[in-house]
Order: sequence, then C-alpha cells, then structure tokens
Amino acid sequence: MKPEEIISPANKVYSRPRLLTEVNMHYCPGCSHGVVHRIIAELIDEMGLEDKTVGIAPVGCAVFAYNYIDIDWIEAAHGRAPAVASAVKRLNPGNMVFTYQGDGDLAAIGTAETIHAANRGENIAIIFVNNAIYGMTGGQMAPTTLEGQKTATTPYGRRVDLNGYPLKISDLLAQLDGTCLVTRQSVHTPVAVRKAKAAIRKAFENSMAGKGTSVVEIVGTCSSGWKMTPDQSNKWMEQNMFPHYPLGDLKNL
Amino acid sequence: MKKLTNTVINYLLTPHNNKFMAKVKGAVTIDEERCKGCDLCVVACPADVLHLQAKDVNDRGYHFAYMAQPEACIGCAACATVCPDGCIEVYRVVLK
Amino acid sequence: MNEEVKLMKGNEAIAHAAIRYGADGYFGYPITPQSEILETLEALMPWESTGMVVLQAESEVAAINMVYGGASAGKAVMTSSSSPGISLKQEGISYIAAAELPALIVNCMRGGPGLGTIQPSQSDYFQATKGGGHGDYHMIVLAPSTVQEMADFVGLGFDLSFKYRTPSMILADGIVGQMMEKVVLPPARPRRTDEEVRRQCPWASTGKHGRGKRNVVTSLEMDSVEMEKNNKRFQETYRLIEQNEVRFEERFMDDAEYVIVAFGTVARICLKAIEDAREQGLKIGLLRPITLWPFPYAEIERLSSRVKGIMVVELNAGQMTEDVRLAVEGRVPVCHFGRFGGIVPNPTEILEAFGKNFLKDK
Repeated sequence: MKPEEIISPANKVYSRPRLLTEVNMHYCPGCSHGVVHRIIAELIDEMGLEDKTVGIAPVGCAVFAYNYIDIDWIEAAHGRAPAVASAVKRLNPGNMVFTYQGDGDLAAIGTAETIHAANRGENIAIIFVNNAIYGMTGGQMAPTTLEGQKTATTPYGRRVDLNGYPLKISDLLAQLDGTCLVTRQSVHTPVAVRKAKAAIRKAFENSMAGKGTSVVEIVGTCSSGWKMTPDQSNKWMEQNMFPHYPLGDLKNL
Repeated sequence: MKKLTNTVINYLLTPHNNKFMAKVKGAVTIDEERCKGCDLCVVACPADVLHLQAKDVNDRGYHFAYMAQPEACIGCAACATVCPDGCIEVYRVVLK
Repeated sequence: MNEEVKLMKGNEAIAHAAIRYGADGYFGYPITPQSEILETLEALMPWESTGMVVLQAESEVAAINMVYGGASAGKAVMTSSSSPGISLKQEGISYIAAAELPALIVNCMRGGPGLGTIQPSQSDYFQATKGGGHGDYHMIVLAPSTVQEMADFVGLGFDLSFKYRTPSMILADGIVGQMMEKVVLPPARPRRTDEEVRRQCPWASTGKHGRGKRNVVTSLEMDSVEMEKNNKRFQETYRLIEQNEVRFEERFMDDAEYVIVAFGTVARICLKAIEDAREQGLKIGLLRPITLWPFPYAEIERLSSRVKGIMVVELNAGQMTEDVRLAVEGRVPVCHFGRFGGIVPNPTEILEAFGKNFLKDK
C-alpha cells in the first residue's frame, strides 16, 4: 500500500490537537515546551475542560503560551503565577486553573508564591518545566542549574561555593501538607510523554476535585542554552539531569 | 531498553515476521512549513521511516522531516508523540 | 443589610463598605496602620454571607498579584496596605494598569522613607499620583478626609475603576484610618452573578463558557507599533478621566483673598485654622482636592487669577505643592507648609506659617 492510499480521514490515528492554535510556536527546534503544550491542549480537550480552564502564563520562554493553546489565559508577572492562580480559583471555584512556569519563574523569583500557594493547598495545578537554565534571557544560571554546568553567568561551570546548590524544589514542595500530587516527569521519549500526560491529567483532575495543589515537574531540555542538538540534549539530560532530578512520583495522595 | 523495545515492536509489527498477526501499515503527514528540523521524530521512529531533508529547506530555512522509507511505517505515532511542534499526523490501516 | 449609622474607625469602615458594595475579594497583608481592614473582614466572615473571598497573603507582592488575577477574571477585588507595603505592590499595580484592569487599592499612609514610622503622613503623594511603578500610567487617586469618605470611596473607587478599566487608589493617611467617627454605611447590594460578570466584562478570563474566542489578559506586546497604540489608548483614557472625574471641595471661597490647599485629614485642620483666621478678619478660603489624580489644575488656575496667595499644607516636603505651582504658573505666590515623620500640625502653627509667608508687612 502506498501512503496516498493510507492517508484518509478514516485511517487517522493521531491528529494535531484541536486546541493548539495555528500560530507557529516561537520555541527553538526540539524544545520540550512544545511537547508539554501539546499534551496540555490534548488533555483539556479530552477532559472536556475547554470552557472551564484558565491558564496562568509565566515570564520566561513560555511567556507566549497564551498564543498557542486556545483557552482563556492570564499572563502573570515574573514568578507570581501561583498567587494569580490562587485568586482565580478561589473566586471561580468551578474553573480548572493551572500555572505553567519555568525554573527561574517558579524556583527563583517566585519561590515564596509557589511555596505558599502549595502550603495553602490551593486547588490549582502547577506545571513546572525545569531545564536548568534561563532560556528566554539567553542561557543564564537557574536555581536548578547543575553543579559544574556552564551557563552565560557561570561560564566556568556552576560552583556551589559561589552559587549554592541546584534546588530540588519539587522535593521541598512534596513536604508541604497542602500538596496532593508532586511528580517529576520528562517528555523525551514516547513512553515518557505518555507518563507525563497521565500525570498532568491527574493534576487537572485534582484541581477540579478540590484535592489540593498538584505539581508536575517536567525535566526538559534547552538545546540552545545547553549548546547541543536536541538529540544530544536528551542524552545529556538522561546522563546528568536524571541522577539529580530522578523521575517518578514524590507524592501522590 | 529502547533498542530492545523497538526490536520487539518491529518483530511483532513487520508483516513477514508473523503470519498470524494482522498486517499493519502506516503513513504520516508532516506539516513541512511548521517543522523545525529538530530531528526528534527521526530518533524516535522505531522503523527508520523518517529522515531530515539533506538539502531542501522550508521557508524558515529548516531541513524538514519526510518519509524516506514510507513502506516501513507501522503507524505507531512515536514520531507525533515526541514532536514539539505538532507537525505530524498519523494514519494506520490493519490489513486482514 | 439596610443603611446603618455606626461609630467606627476609618479602616473598619472600609471593610464594611467593601462587603456592602458587593466586592468579590480582598487580598491583604498586615501592616500598621491599616491592619484593621483585614482583621475586620476576617471577623465579619463575608464568605459566609455574600461569598466574598478574603485571604491573608504571604506578602504584599502576592496580595497585589492575587488582585491582578481576580481582576483578570472580571471580579471586584481590592487590597490595602501602608506605605512600605504599597511600594512592594507597585509592580502589580503597573501590570494592572497595563492590562487595563479594574482594582481598588487602599494606602493608609505612614511616614517614610524606608521603614520610617507608623505615624500618619502624606508622603506617598508623588508615588500615588505620578504612577508609582514603571511605565506611563495613572491611577485614579481619591483622598478621604473623614471616616464617611473612607466608606463612600470604596464604592466610588470600584465604580470609577470599572468604568475606565484602570486601578483606583484610596490614598488615606494613618489618621483617618485610625480615628473613630460617625459613619452612615450604605445599604448592602448583592454581588454580581457569574453571568453578570461575564456580561459586564466580556474581556475577562473566566474560562471560555461557549465563547468561541479565547480571552487573554496580558500586559505584554512585543510589536512596538502595537505597544505604542496601547500606550495611546491608555493616554486617551487618562484624558477622559481628567475631563470627567476631577473632584474637589471648596469652603469660604466666595470672599477669599488667600487660599489654603490641603487634602485628607490635613484639610480638616486647615479648616479650623481658617475659621480662627476669619475671626481675626483674615479672608482665607480652603480648596480640598478630593481626586489627587486627576488633579484640579483648572480650578486652581481659576483661583490664581483672583487671590493674593496660595499656601499648600501637607504632611510631606511639598509634593502637592508642585502640582499647585504647575496650575498657578507663577501668577501668585505659592508657599508650602509641611510637617513630616508622623507629626501633625495644629491650627495655630498653620496660621503662623501663613502669617510668615503672606503677612510680613503687618
């Protein structure tokens, strides 16, 4: 059979999600954000949450998330997404509210907002993409940058005596009584993508069920910041990121 | 592990290997203008169907992906699952 | 709840008025001298009666961003703080102004700079009226001088804020926040239903609810041409507010030869000084700007052509005096008398200052 014979609506098994807009994403080739966006768009559609969802976009590479997923959005100030989300969910408890944040937004400038929203057990889902670097501003050190990792502001590698330790913020959040789900996932293989999608589905379900704060950390790549090809980035992530940020559930109540 | 999984999938799904199983044929469409040539679909494909164009580029200058060996496609959607830009749609038929 | 006459602090009046207005949410953080607003709301438990959300945030920064979130959903939301806390809120206020959101912010001013003092002051005039945060923007600034106005300006502030989709601030001083006075609380009205919110605020991020097009609340625009358009639209709104919303009060102005300009509780002290002066035959009038932005430039310009001099009295080093001078454009002498650091002047020293400035020959 030739491809032309196979390609027909009746045989379609995978479509571009309806809730991804037609806009080309501004992300660099191979960026993990694109995959995470796609599975969020798939889930909101599959779960019938299009009319109820409010996404809170961060400052960082994902600042334009609101251009790519066809739902209501609020663009927050840097690090403040969990505070914004707390109010939105409390004022409209029928909404499914999620924040989408990077490591700088969530684990540096927004640490207070993140920890206190989670500690209050706000019924929100926090999608946290950790690629150990500031992508948007050009590859500077993030709180999650690994020891020895070279960035624009640690050109000789991160030194813990100067810059402290890579912050395992999800481990910290798992200690809080307000969180119901804290899990670390990745999106670099088909199997990993399916697991990450299942985790985000659970987080969205928790938001609607009022179970508390869910945190899904996605350990991702930044091939531009890391100065590698996307495939090399995935391998580097497996070898260097996963030992420090091991995948799996930290808490799942 | 990934290699082993791919071998198993290939064994099970490649028509000449199992006369009792239904034959599965797949095909993908690639939004060439949206593709950024990141190569992740090429790496993810268990049947070596997809390659990046060696010379051709799209309007934004990317060497986009294409079906280099369409006859090998099993429609498993691994490529679409890892595509960061949602460029790939997948079709599959089961031949009896 | 019907209209009620009560004796209470200005801060308490704000809390009662917010519930009676049908406010949807209050997000705050304790700081002297305004903590009674949060305390009163927590004690009144409006979530049980009207469904109003009250939350003590982890910081002023979080509180103002909760206001940003609530306002983005079309809700009538507010926060309150005092000077150092208001400085922390400036980031959020700038975003609220840029995203064209309605919100009410109460500043119960204390003396600065820095941690300063917990005693009353008016030293945040510049910060409130000239923007405060980054970028070209304004807030509508209301300056109450009585506990009654503390209550009344909650509704006025929200109404103006929704009318123009721009933040409003009640710029009170620690005196009116802390002092107790008779206040007539307005009758309570119900909060808007979700449907009413969506109808009134078709731009709000509430979830699409069958609306085909998504709503995005953002202050970001990377296209400079579009960003200039946004700025021009903000400025058009500000011109409209300047045309329509200038508010002030005048006393003893008919025969006045001199004018004292003062806002907030200081205007009440000045009124006593003016009454004393009139007993001595000095014809002084009082102009009390109620909106500090938009500022009553036109009225002061008009007065400057018929009086001999203007004295501005304020609890700062002459911040509003600059605006008065801009309005007067040198036509008559303008002088300033101020106390700082939590000191409040008495009528006698105000008149002494007036005498030194304007009655040197006598």
